[in-house]
Amino acid sequence: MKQRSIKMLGLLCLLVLQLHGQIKRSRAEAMPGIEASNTMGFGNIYCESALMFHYRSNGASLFEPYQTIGLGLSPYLDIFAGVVPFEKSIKQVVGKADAHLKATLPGNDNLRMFGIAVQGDLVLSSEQDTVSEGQNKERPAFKPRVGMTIIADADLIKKYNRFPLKIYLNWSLFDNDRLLQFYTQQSIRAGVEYKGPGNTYFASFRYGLYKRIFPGTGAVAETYGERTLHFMPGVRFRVFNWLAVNAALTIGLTAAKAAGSPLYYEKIGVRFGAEFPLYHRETNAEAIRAMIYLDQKKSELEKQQAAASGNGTPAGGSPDSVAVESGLLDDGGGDAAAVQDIKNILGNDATLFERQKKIKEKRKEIQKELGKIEGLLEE
Amino acid sequence: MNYRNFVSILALCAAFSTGMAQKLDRGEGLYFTENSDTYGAGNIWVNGHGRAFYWDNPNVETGFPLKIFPCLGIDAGILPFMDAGISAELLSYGFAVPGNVKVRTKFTLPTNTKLRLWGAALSLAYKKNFLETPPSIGFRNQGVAFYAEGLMYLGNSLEIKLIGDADLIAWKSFLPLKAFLNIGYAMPLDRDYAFFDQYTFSAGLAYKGLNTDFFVEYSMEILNSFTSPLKVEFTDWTSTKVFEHYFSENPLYVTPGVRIRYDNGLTLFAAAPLTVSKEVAPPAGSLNSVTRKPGYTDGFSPFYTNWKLAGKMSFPIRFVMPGSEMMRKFMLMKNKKEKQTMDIDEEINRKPGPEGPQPSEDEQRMQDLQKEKENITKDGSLE
Repeated sequence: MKQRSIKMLGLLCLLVLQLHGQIKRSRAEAMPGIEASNTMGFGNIYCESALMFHYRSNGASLFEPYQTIGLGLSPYLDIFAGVVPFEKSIKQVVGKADAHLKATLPGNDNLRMFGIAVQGDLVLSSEQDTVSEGQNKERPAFKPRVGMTIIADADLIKKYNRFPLKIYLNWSLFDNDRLLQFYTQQSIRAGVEYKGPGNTYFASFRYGLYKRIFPGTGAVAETYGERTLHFMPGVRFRVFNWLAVNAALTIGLTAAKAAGSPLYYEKIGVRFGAEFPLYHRETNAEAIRAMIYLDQKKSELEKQQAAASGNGTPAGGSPDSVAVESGLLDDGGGDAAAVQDIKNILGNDATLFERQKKIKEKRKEIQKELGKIEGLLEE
Repeated sequence: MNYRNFVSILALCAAFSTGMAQKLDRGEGLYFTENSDTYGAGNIWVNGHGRAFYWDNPNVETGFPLKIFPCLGIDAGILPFMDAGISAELLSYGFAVPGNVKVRTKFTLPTNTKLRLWGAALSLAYKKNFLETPPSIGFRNQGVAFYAEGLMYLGNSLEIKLIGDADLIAWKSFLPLKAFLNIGYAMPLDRDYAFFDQYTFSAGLAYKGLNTDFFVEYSMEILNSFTSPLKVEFTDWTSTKVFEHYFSENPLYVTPGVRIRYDNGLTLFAAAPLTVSKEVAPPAGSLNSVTRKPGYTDGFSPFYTNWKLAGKMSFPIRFVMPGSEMMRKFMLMKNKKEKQTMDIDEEINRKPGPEGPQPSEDEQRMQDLQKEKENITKDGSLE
């Protein structure tokens, strides 16, 4: 009975391992409110549908849907845009919209320890502009506001395979994009994410600095006299290999607000999002990350198998030998399907090596052909 | 380079193009600016495209501010130096169906079959606008109107363009840039409105890569107001407006954009025309009987939308890559940096595979050589 349980555990591990190998993870995946320095990868298209509930310091509470779509323009450049559909009245069936163009360094193509990126931000505000001269006070302005974000992060898994943490640091000219007509802003955000093989867990802080823009004259205060601080913990669950569901909490920790100022902050906010790809081609970096997880799972499994067989020698080698040494083959055929699954998984692993070999050969072939052509051109 | 060599290159390019299947579309241009090249005889591309913008002019008190106009189109290469296309707006202002229908053709020089440094072409487009009442804030008559996107002709109109471009990759293979210049003339076919004929001008620069193109262009659609302001008169159903119209009040755009290509031929295109027109004359509605010049009733503001987003998705339903584009592909691949940016080989070798740690390429080669040497020694071949 005990042996059977161990076998089932081993099988479960292998199935989980297979699932993780196939997860369609965006290279740019980070956490709500924080950006990663990585871009999505050429041609990849990812979406997120989110629903947020805000309870603000000014007493307002509201539900807000938010839909984003992102496209990898090149290995080092991507664009993503979001919109709040169904906002307030009929005039704002489509509410606030934003678009972001992110450029990163060429190292994005690899699993890198440190990454930096620069992002141009555009917000089409749907707030009624009651500050600027000549604005229609009855209708949303949809006024374009341009800003930028500088992003740095450290992916510790590159250096410490058993330590899958990612640390993020963002500096942006937008903290609350609904208050852009009232304040010049700066936002400093820092976060940490446990980027495990499946689910991820994250927490971040957002510190906002606000400099007042005075109505009518458009004059700007001399100092960033108003501040907010938020804490945002959350989790991302992989439901299927193509779908991740995230949940995040926003807690307003403190705020410094001038008397009569329109500044508000989120006292409490809850956000649920569903992330999924419309088109996904695995990037090299994420393939390497998956391989690291795969390697770790294998090692764990081997240790378990060694412990179970009591000989202290880890299993290894061919798919058959792993299955035999794990003791799954000698069960009178009762676990035949499971054995086949294990073989398939290990077989896939072997196929990966085969595929890489072929890529290498193809690369050589192309170089050879290029050489020939160059020779012809020189004639 | 003789003919034999050229054919060999094409054959070789074709051979390895099967491995990297980017389908380079010869006829693609920018957003406003056309390309002098044509699609290649027999090639057929279908596309869905559209544009969207907010038009929330304070003077327009009614109407939904977000405008989205989806279109469908098809382009075909008829001859090696001629192509044609048709496109139709599925939806227009006031939910009118259909909106503009456009039929176009382009003729270029026979050198189109090669990757050429200098290209020239003539393009003709016929448009039919089915709207009966133009969307405007009063600056209109029964045939022409200023509206959110510039000047609109109702009914039938024609546009002629002279196209010139310089494909720098044909000059230096490491320079995948292309410069474009279009000069055109647009006119309503109802010559009662000949006063509103427009000159069109656009210039652009594009980086044309294997998978991704980036571009920026500047374009103008101008009434005959080059040297002095034009006195424009509109009489619509309710009132008459007479106003001065200055050069920089014409629709002027700066448009950045990008195009990406997938291996299956699907091409995505996005551009954002940003309006850079400036108000010179007194604003619309600001004049009174004291301040206005004799003979004028109004001022004019270029109330066009500040920005638009345009997108296009195209797919080849019949495609043979023209020789010129094969040559471009070769040039791009030849100059592609073979920098090993991914560690995947290293990672694989570092990780124990099903058969233990994988030897590196050099180690493998050395092992093979050793084995071969042992075999030969065993056979006594070396003795």
